[in-house]
Amino acid sequence: MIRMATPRTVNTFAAQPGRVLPYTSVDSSFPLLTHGRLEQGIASRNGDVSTVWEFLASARDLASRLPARRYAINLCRDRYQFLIAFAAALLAQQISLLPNCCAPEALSQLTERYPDAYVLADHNDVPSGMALCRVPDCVQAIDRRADIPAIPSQQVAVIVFTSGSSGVPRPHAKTWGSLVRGAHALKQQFGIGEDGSHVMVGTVPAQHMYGMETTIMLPLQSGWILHAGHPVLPADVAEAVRKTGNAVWLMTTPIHLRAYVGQRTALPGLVGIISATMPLPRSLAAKAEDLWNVPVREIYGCTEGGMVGYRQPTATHMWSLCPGLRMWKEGDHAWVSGGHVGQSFRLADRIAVQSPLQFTLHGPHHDLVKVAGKRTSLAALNAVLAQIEGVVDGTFYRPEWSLNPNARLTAFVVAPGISASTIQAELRKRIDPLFLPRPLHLVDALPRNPIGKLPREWLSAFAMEMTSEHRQRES
Amino acid sequence: MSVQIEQEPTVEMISRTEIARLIVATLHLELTPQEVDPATPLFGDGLGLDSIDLLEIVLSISQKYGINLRAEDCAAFASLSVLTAYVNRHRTK
Repeated sequence: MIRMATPRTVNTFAAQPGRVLPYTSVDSSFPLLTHGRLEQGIASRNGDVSTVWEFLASARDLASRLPARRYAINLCRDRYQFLIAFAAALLAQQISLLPNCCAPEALSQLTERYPDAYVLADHNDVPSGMALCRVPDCVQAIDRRADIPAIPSQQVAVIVFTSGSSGVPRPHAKTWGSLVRGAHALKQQFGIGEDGSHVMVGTVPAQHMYGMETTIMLPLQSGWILHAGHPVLPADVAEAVRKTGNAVWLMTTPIHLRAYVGQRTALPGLVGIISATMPLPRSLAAKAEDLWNVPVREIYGCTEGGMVGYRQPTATHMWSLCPGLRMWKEGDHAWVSGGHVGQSFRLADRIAVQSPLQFTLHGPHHDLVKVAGKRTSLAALNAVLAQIEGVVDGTFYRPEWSLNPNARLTAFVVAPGISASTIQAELRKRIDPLFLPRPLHLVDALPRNPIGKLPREWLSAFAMEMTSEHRQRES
Repeated sequence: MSVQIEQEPTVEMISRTEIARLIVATLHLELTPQEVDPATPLFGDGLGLDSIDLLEIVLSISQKYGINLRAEDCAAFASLSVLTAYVNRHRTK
């Protein structure tokens, strides 16, 4: 392990460590990273630490070998390789596309939309016919240039996606400036300083906006070491934390946290937990704080804007709006703008604005579906279902009575002569597995009213009937 | 000459149905344990389970049989048969 044995010195290449936050929008560029020395660690894999100069050499080497295209679909699973690929694309002035779903049809759709795109991955599990550039496992770091690259603020760094209502994902472009300002907002919120001994362990993928913010941008802009893996199972998270041996921040979700608390997973050296993707129950946050003796902070955000609010659930149910942002209501919907968010956009959750700087959350709007932090709409899912050959009519349905927070969706489908498993297989090619209907009921017809709407009461009664039929069969 | 036979503690083998019941109950699947095919893959194209399901099953197996599965052990989820054999081999309770 690298130790910060001597006090950090301000080298010529250092990324202005004494600079006072917040940066303003007039900054024309931001450094790729804010680590104070080239010998400082930036990534840890199985206890082996890669230094900043090894990282920069790898990123520059890859950047020089990238295909001359505009868009790179970053599908790396290893977080350090994701970071190298992301940095290489930035240096080559290419835009990283971060798909919200890796199903084969979804990826083909993405390349149809961005014909000048290729895949950057650390594996070969890519649909045939897609241009692939492999990210190497290791680069002999011979490039010892001592400057930290500065990336123009206005350069589009990534495009992230939300599922649009027609079933076609909606792109959201993020400039390097907005990503850096988002990381600075996070640091400010949670009192995070520049500390080269801190390590980030993340249980969320880097391709998710929350993962991008907390597991890539925050370590880059805080001089931290990132853990290269993507551990999820309790034994893997315990191993990751144990092997890093430093002060560890855990970036996770309520579903994962519930598992680690339930198992009383040993996490020595933990200094903080950040949770997002769905509301964290206060009782769970309290158990985690008791178990590991660290504060549990929570972020409310979304793909369009990144972090919007934050709170410590054991202290308050009220969310504080991130500094620099403005929130207001128009009818039933809340809007937000300013700061790292930039232009105004409408939030998908029902929100009550309590004061200019505080708000409360009251669940998703009617059409919105959230399963395990992934978000789509019933309209989008229904559009995908209708595209499957042989499907005459069909609808997804979200049960209302379910007590299980991870409850899955139900689908009613009219498809004469086609089996439920065939439809499931077709859906699997197109949508995230979390949204696959469980169960999918084949029916003779759907009782649509004259304007084509389905009475919700019918759906609910029918779903109830099917479930009780199943229970009788089981007993 | 007398032969000493060492008496091993009797450990009852866990049946496939028992593991199927654990999966169905953990994940609230709309299936009966008997409907889970012993040879079908549990994830991907087979039973269609996903990453959240994996976490839930790993927790249930840990609580009931004392096995702390890791990502590298996930070949154990190749099918119900393979998982049953794995649990019988590695259980600590």
